[in-house]
Amino acid sequence: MNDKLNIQETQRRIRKVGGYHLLLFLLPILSVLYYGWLKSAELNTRPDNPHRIAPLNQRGKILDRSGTPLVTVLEGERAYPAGECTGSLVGYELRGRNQTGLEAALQGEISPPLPAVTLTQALIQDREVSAGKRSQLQGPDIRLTIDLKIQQQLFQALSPFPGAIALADPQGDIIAAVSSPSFDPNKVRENWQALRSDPKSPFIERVGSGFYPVLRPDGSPLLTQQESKNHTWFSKDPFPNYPLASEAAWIEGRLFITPLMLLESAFQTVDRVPRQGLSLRQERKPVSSQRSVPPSLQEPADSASESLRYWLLQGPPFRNSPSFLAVIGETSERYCFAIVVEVDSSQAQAQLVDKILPALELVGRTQQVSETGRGR
Amino acid sequence: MGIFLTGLSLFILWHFVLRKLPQIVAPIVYLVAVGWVELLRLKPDLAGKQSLWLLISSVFCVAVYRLLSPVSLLERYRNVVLTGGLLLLFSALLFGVEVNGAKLWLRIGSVSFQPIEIVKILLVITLASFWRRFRLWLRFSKGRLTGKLPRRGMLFLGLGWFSGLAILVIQRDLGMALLLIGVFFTMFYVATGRRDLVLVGVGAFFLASIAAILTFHHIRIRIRAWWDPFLFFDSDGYQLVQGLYAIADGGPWGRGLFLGRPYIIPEAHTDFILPAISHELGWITSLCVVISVASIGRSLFELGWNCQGEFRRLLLTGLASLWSIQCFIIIAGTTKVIPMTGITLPFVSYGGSSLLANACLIALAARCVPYER
Repeated sequence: MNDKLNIQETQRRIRKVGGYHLLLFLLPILSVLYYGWLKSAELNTRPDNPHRIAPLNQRGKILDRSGTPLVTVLEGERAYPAGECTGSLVGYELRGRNQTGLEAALQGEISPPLPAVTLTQALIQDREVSAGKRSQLQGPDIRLTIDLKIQQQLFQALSPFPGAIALADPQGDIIAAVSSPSFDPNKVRENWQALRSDPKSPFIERVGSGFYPVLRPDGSPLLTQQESKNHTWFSKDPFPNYPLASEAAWIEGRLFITPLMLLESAFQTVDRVPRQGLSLRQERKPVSSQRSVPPSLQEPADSASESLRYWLLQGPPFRNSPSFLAVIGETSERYCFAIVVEVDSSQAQAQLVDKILPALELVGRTQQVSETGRGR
Repeated sequence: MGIFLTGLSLFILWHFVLRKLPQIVAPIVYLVAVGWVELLRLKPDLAGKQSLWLLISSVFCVAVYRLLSPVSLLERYRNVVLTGGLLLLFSALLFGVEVNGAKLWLRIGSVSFQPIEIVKILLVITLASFWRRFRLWLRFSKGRLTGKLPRRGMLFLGLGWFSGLAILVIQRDLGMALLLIGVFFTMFYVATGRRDLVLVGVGAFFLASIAAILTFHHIRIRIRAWWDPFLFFDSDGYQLVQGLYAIADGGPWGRGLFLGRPYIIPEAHTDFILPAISHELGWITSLCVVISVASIGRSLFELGWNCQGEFRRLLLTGLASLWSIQCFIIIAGTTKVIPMTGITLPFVSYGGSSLLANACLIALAARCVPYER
């Protein structure tokens, strides 16, 4: 009798705890409904949601100004035929995140339209269209002002040194944006560790985001924004109309500039979309050759130097390089360029100038040839 | 090949063991199928391995089922079970290989194994046999809370309670602590019916956890990353946030197999397989998975309710509780109900030791059921 009662009691208890255990599962079910249904619209519009980013192989191509692809899709995979010389410009993407460069900046323009996800949309939408054909969608292509041949030439000239070259044609279109050292975007995943641990930081895109410190010739930093407007220690007008007072250039009370900012300073007005359209598109301010050269600088003994203006920016180490050579100038074909190179000795600087100036002089001619070629 | 192996192992499982448990055949087949298909999509090379593991564990399941006849063998050799469990646990702590910061893996040759999965089941067996012996002492003192509580029983209670707390503080693993405390007190309650002691124990544990959360910085960080993962979307909360994005983006019907990008979620093939399924097959499918899991838990409780003999009842209740809480922890962890704990979803996630342990669980459950059913 007692035993029987015991069993019944135990059974009652088992039923009770079983019920509690099953009630537990109500919580995740409610949570799935909450995040999958009620809150899905909000989650899907968040900018860091990777599912709102089209996969790489569905994106359109990125072409240079003559239509040669910098980035394309080959056999369902994103391919970068231009290789290393455009590496830091076009960027890379790993696992649907970690986007950099143009892949990130132009993402909205080259992606196909995204599918509907809410319940009502999904019910209304033809399932065939939303599922079957979506995988074949392709985003539109985009054409840049970059000229791949010039980009390659300048990269060849610069590549042993860390630094950047930005080159714009007389209309203000950016023809080349070279950053060195670079990486081959086809092989980012294979070389990830080596690239990450490289002390020269190949992942830093130096044209638009390599911020170099600007200092007085004696090495002391610029202290106030007012001071930068009345700088007499540079040649007369190094950054005409450039909004140096803008907060982007000032980090912790010190002035930093990018090579792109240097280039922009050669143009009258500045439209601040440097990384997107890669075009300055402004009225050109004539670069006068009478401008005085700062006395602290030794001019390289080169014929092209007559049309060049130089500033030397000496500063504390940026990563592991003790000083920088910054050059802004104009080639004989009136292409405007800005160069910043991280070199430590004046010997290396001279070597570098020897290498880069001929390449720059070649640029205009290549460009003219390719333009006439296209004309036919 | 993989699909053949999977089918074969399901057949073995059904033919030798699951015939006695017809009510859980359909959910198990469903779980295995969904999990395997999603695994094939996520990691095709692991899907073949998973089929092999399925075959091994179904054979293991049959072996356990045949060897443990009658099931009271386990009770007779409870000390062996206890020693075996402790040995496994300590071998993992001593000779274990560290994966993701936790020393939970034993490596034999090229095969990695997580002994904790088996230890959980051995723990349930041990608890079942010990509670059965202690229950009389505990029952006699009913109604006298402050009076004569048997010392050994209390010692045992305290031991379980403190090990739960130790897991929480040392391993900073809220899920594991929840599992231990849940199974421990469930079996204790079923064995003795002392609701007051359970309430005191669980309440004290709750207070102690809050105190631990407030005191220990590393636990607090975890809790904070769980409470608002979107604040930490690129660090601690990354995995959870990606899981939620996957669920939200999949919608009710999902993006379709091979059309979504579930591989963005870290560990999508093991811990976060539910959001991955939800992403590609829709949250309707993932709700089906949750309901299947819950229905298996319900069937196990029902079997415990039905079966003969105190030890078997206790054992089955313990196994049912282990199954339910374990599944709850991982499902709730991936859906932001509780802080995340890395446990596999049984029969769905990739993982050999988990498959083996859960096949063992099924074999034990089947063994407890008398033949006339």
